[in-house]
Amino acid sequence: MTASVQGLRDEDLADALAAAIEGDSASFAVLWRCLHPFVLRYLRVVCGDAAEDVASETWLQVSRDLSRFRGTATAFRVWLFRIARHRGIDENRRAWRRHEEPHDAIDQLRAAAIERDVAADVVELHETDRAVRLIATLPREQAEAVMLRVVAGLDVAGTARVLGKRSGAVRIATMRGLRRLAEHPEVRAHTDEDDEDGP
Amino acid sequence: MDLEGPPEGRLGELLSAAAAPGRPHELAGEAAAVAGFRTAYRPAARHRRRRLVALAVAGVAAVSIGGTAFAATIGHLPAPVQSWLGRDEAPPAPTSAARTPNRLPTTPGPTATTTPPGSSNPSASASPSAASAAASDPVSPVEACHAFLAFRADPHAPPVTGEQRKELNRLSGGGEKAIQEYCNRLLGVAPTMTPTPTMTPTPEEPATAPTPEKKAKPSHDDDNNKQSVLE
Repeated sequence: MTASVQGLRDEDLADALAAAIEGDSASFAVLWRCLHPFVLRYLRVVCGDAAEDVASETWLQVSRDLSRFRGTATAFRVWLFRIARHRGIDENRRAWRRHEEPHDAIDQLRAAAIERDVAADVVELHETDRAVRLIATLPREQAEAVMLRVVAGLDVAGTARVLGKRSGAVRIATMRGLRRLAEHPEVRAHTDEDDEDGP
Repeated sequence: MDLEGPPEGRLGELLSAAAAPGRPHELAGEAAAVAGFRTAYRPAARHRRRRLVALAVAGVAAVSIGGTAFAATIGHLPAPVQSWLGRDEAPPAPTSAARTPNRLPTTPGPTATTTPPGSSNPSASASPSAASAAASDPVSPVEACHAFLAFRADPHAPPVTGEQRKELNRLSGGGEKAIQEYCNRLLGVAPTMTPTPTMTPTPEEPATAPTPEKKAKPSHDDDNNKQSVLE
């Protein structure tokens, strides 16, 4: 539940950040490699299948504005996820408008969703994908708080800044999300299996 | 692994999995992302310059709109423009000045002759940065860059000092490396950098800057380099 889970330390990022701000593309690549997977997973929770596209947009905006960024590596991560969130919300609005227009769009959507669920049952998902999918089933506020705290490795204050909420609200959302996850049938089922299979 | 997981048991495993290091397919887009960075990145100094240029353009546009309104009151405008103004009653507010010239194609304004056709960003390219250059540019960045690069290439060449150095620091954000990159971009030296839109408003364009003693090697032909920047 800390940043150490992902082996991503801000002091390691600081040098790369400083050079990337100066325009060094190799250093930008370091930042990207370290952070992109987590941006992508966070965006899966925010905007589902559009995550890849929105992540690309996010990094483009970061590229454009990076030379004006002033702050620590921690602040950079907050900035990055803020941009990602805003981009994701914009994408959701666009998608909503797209789907509002044709009459049978909702039926198509529903059919697609069912298809995806079946596919997910058949194909064995990597445990990382399964975990992100599970977190994405939480109420939106809780899902985002959990992703930002656990996956993005932000602290409460940073998460609060990304979400535009107060720290107290972030703490509560995270706690409720984790509690709900612990009670999720899939998590409990696995716990039971582990007990049965255990030595 | 099951027994040594985080204290939260299965939930801990789930969270660890969600935060696991990036996997190959998640990192597949690196080349595209870096290419995007090369294209989209804009050095900080340019932002200041661009704002100045934008302000200058807005000012010029406001003046020309004011002239248009004046001309309209005496009825000296072509019919479409006249009717457009008549419909709106009040002349356009100065805050919309930056956008309105597009809707007034016949307006004779100082910007009309200098705007390159088909330019995508009116605020950046519409005016030669005469205003900002005159205000803050006694030093030609191109000359300074030539001197800087000459010194980098040949230690016997005179180092860049004084106003030239200050200007380079200001434009690049400071530091040898930043200056080097700035100059490479400005002069089109680096093979990896293709010209980007950020390069179009070249600061040396007016060619009015009084140039200090030329320090670069004689082999550098200023006009040729200017040409390459403008292309």
